Amino acid sequence: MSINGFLQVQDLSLHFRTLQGIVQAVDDVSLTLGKGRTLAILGESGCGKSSLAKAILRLLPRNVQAYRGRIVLDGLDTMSLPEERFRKEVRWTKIALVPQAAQNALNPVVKISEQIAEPLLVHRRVGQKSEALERAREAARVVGIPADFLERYPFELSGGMRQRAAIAMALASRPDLVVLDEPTSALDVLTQANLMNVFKEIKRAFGTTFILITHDIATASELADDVAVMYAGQIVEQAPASEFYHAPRHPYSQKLMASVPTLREEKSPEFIPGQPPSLIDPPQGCRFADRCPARFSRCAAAPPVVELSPGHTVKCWLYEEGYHGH
Amino acid sequence: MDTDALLQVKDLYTWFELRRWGFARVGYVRAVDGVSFELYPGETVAVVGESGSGKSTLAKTILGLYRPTRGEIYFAGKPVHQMKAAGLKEYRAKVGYVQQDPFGALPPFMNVRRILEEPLIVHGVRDRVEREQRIHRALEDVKLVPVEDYLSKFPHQLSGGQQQRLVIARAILLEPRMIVADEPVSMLDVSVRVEILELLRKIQQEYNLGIIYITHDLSTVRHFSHRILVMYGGKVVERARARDLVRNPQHPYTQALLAALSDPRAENAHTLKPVPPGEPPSLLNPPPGCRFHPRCPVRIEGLCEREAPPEVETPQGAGHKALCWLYHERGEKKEEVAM
Amino acid sequence: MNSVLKRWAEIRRYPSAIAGMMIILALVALSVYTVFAIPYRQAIQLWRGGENLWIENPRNAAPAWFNLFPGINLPTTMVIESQGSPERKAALDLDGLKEVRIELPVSFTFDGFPKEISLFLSARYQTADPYITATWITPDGREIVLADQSIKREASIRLSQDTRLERRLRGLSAEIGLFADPNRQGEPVPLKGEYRLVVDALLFAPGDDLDAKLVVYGQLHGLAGTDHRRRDLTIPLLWGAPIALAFGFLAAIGSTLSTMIIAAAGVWWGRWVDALIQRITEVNLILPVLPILIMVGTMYSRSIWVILNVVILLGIFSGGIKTYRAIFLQVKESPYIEAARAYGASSLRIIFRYMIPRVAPILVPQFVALIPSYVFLEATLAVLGLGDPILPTWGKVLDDAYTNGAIYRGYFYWVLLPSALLITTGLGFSMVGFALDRIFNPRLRGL
Ligand SMILES: Nc1ncnc2c1ncn2[C@@H]1O[C@H](COP(=O)(O)OP(=O)(O)OP(=O)(O)O)[C@@H](O)[C@H]1O
Ligand SMILES: Nc1ncnc2c1ncn2[C@@H]1O[C@H](COP(=O)(O)OP(=O)(O)OP(=O)(O)O)[C@@H](O)[C@H]1O
Ligand SMILES: [Mg+2]
Ligand SMILES: [Mg+2]
Repeated sequence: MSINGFLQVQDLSLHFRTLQGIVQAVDDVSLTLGKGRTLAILGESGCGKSSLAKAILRLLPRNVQAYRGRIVLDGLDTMSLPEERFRKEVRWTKIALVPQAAQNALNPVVKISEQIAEPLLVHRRVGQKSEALERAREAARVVGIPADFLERYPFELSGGMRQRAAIAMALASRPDLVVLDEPTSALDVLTQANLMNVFKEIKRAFGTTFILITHDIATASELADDVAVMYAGQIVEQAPASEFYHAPRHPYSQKLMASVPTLREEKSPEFIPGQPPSLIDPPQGCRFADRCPARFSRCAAAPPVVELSPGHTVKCWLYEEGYHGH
Repeated sequence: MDTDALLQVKDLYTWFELRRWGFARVGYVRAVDGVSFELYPGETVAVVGESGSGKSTLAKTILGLYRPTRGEIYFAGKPVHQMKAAGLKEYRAKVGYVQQDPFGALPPFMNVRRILEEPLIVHGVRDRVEREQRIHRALEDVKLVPVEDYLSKFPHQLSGGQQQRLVIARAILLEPRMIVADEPVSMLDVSVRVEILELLRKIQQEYNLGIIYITHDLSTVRHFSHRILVMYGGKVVERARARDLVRNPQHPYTQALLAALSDPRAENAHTLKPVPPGEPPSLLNPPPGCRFHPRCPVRIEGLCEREAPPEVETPQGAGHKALCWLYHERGEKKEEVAM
Repeated sequence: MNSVLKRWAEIRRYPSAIAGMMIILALVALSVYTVFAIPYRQAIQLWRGGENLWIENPRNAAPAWFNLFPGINLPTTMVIESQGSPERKAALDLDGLKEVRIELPVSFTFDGFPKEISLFLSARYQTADPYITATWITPDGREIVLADQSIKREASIRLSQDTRLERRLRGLSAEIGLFADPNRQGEPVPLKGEYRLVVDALLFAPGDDLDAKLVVYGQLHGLAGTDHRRRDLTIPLLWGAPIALAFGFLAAIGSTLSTMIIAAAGVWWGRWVDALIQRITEVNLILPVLPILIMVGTMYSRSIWVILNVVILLGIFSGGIKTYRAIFLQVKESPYIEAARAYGASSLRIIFRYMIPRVAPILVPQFVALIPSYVFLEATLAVLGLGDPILPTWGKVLDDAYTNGAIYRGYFYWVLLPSALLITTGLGFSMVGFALDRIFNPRLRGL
């Protein structure tokens, strides 16, 4: 793991209190991300992807039971900041979030241009409204919103355009890191491709660092430099995209890849039998063990994180030093 | 009329009247605008298209939930579009419906047994024991076993995949001959999608069902259907056998759609996708001529924006047809003139 | 079952809901107890039976538990009689004649005077009327003749109304004069101690007999006090509970259910059905409920059941229909309804089996909160003089209290007890309704 990552997350946990028990939505997650790179976080629904995003932005609901770990962004230990400073100096300023289903979360009675300018004004990044609107216009141009759409209201736009507006909102404050939570899942194929093009261009032009949260492995491949696979609240594999898409190592990653129907290759997709464990009282050992085809005796204990090559780690007993049984 | 066909849809139109303030008619939303196709027993026909292209409306018209504005629907030779209440009820027992949102499709206040009992009661299965037997069989068919573990569960106690299997169990309970599945897996996790689709295929083979599989996801269609209809703006713009369509898309829209889809490969990150400009057409005021012409990279000036193209056989043959001037002799001539 | 337990676990997190449920439970328990302890017929008889039934009760007495407050020591009602206590009676045969002496001990230890004092005599004789002399012996040995007369079979000697006796007692009426300490000047003060009433009777046949009963009416009486007609208020206060609960519950369930069904039907069939229902509702909304009820009450019938039906009828097309309609419009679009249509469920089945069960739980909190408003409505009507003429209800008690000037005459208990019961009932249901609302509609919870 490269030590001098732009973003370093260490042993981050976020647990929720519910009537049924404690939900370990994010459990001891560690990640590294270099500047200007894009990390795709892949995982099934409910594995804790959005919670991880919230934990990074410290957008915590009221029923948090535990929130701990270390997040270092560009040398700044953000977890140790008091809330007020975090809000002023980090959220939207350094890290911006495009939340899940953002296209449906726009304020229906505010014009698109003002909507995009809103965070700038709220966070006092700029003094004047005219300046904020200017920045908003620029951000809108970057994400490909035609100028005449800026004076419209959200309901007058298609889902794709609204999503672009939500992205422009995040980009307008020129953050160092943009967290995209399922930015394209609810959109059509063509709109989706279009947006991925937009992200690629932004990345190329501004060197923005992205965290792309998605359950769609094919879409993730469009943007990812690195891939992290999340399963039941934990990261089970992190790897450079080239290595990951070529040969995923964790059995879950392998199964997940095999479940994607391909358009151009002959192989038939397979499914993963069973279902993920509950995040309330998850298994003590490997959380994937009871669905894993390569399960063996050691899986009853929590697996170690093994570094296979620089930047490629796997949380699995199969790759433990001295064991070569697979 | 094709006597072997299980379902025959002929030149079907479903338009919605759009009114302002409840009375002044503004126009019609042409959600389904002249669709024809057949479905044979044991066959899966996939209908793919973008959001708003009229896929669900087509499904619901076939299910008798909407009255067609014009056109004919024959099920096993009987005219569905003319059926009265009694006939429609009988028809509904023969057609199963699987919806997109499995949780929404299940009444949240009923347990599994009640949910499955409902269609049986509606169709007059009075005998408790028989009902119980049929419920058991259906749950076994969708692999919700051991059945006893599930009977008294409520939908929210099931995972998404299990909910969708329950929906499928309900759809096959009345021993239908056809299933209409409207985006049956798009709300499910990648890892269970294939499971559900394979389950549908297995049930199809067991009972020789005809399946209409509606989706916007071309990549599953290739593996789980025999024929594909591509819908755009309420019309079927291309139809072919599944493999042919994916390998050799003929309509410019289908070509764009396929080009926009990526297989999971790290190399994707290095290239931009070709995407046609613009947005899907308004169904209220569709563009004149071909509906795709404003976005079409190969449109023929002077023809495509003026006249709606007919459905023509493409050079691929084997029933591979497209709604496009490119493959019509007039289009070919124009192109020559243009050059 | 499981979900019920879960709901219960959630409810338990709201102390106010627990308190509210305890109140409701207490009211229900009280109602059940009442209905069994004082059967309906008996209750009506006691309530409507007239003064003879209550002859041993004081008028307008406060509840007996007032004495529990420090510094208060007021007399409660004492009934001392010879019947059943042979030791209080002595007889002497004087050939042909018979003399009977009855001694009734009165132990008086209170700081206040009684409300009234009466002597009841009942004689069994053949020919001539018995002749009696009644003497009051105070603890300090004074003897005061209360009566010296012949009596009929049943005699009620209302000592407090005897003006001649009053004159002899230096202008104090009997209940004060008989108990006053003669050595104190100014305001009379009771003399505590053992009093005796001695009745000497002369009977004119050996078989004749006589019994006496002395009633010293207290200022305090029973659990709830008494009203202007000597009726024990326990009866209406107890019976008010089942009647209020039944009225509130039936009215709430009747109007909620019918509103729900009509709203669902309107939404399901849409078009003119829906439009018609909407228009009726709008008209109904501007009709004033109370005046209509008053009209029905004065011109047709004041029976609680008639009023109940009118209340439900007026409640059907209430503002609630608009709320329900909004919810049903959403429910109608649910995929599961579409699925039900697709497998052939009929419209009625969809309305009753799929739409109403879906929203019913959402409306439980509203329903619970609606109950007390109907309880109050019934009380309001009663206070307006339109209460049921037969039933003992809280509202009726309030009505009596007002018409008899309870407040300016200082009979606060008469107003406070029924009001407290009404308010407690309202509070109980509101607290539960409020908590249920937070549980069933988690948006308000702000997790
Ligand atoms: N505020 C909360 N309180 C309690 N549990 C929560 C809360 N937020 C999320 N959860 C639970 O935590 C788990 C992870 O949720 P999260 O939204 O992070 O998943 P996700 O991976 O983003 O899923 P999706 O793909 O469906 O968006 C889920 O089981 C969810 O029910
Ligand atoms: N009941 C209705 N009344 C009026 N317009 C309708 C109605 N149902 C659908 N439409 C319109 O018809 C068009 C086609 O809708 P339809 O739901 O069939 O599309 P779809 O292809 O299923 O899209 P999606 O992928 O979003 O489900 C849309 O423009 C929609 O707004
Ligand atoms: Mg999420
Ligand atoms: Mg649809």
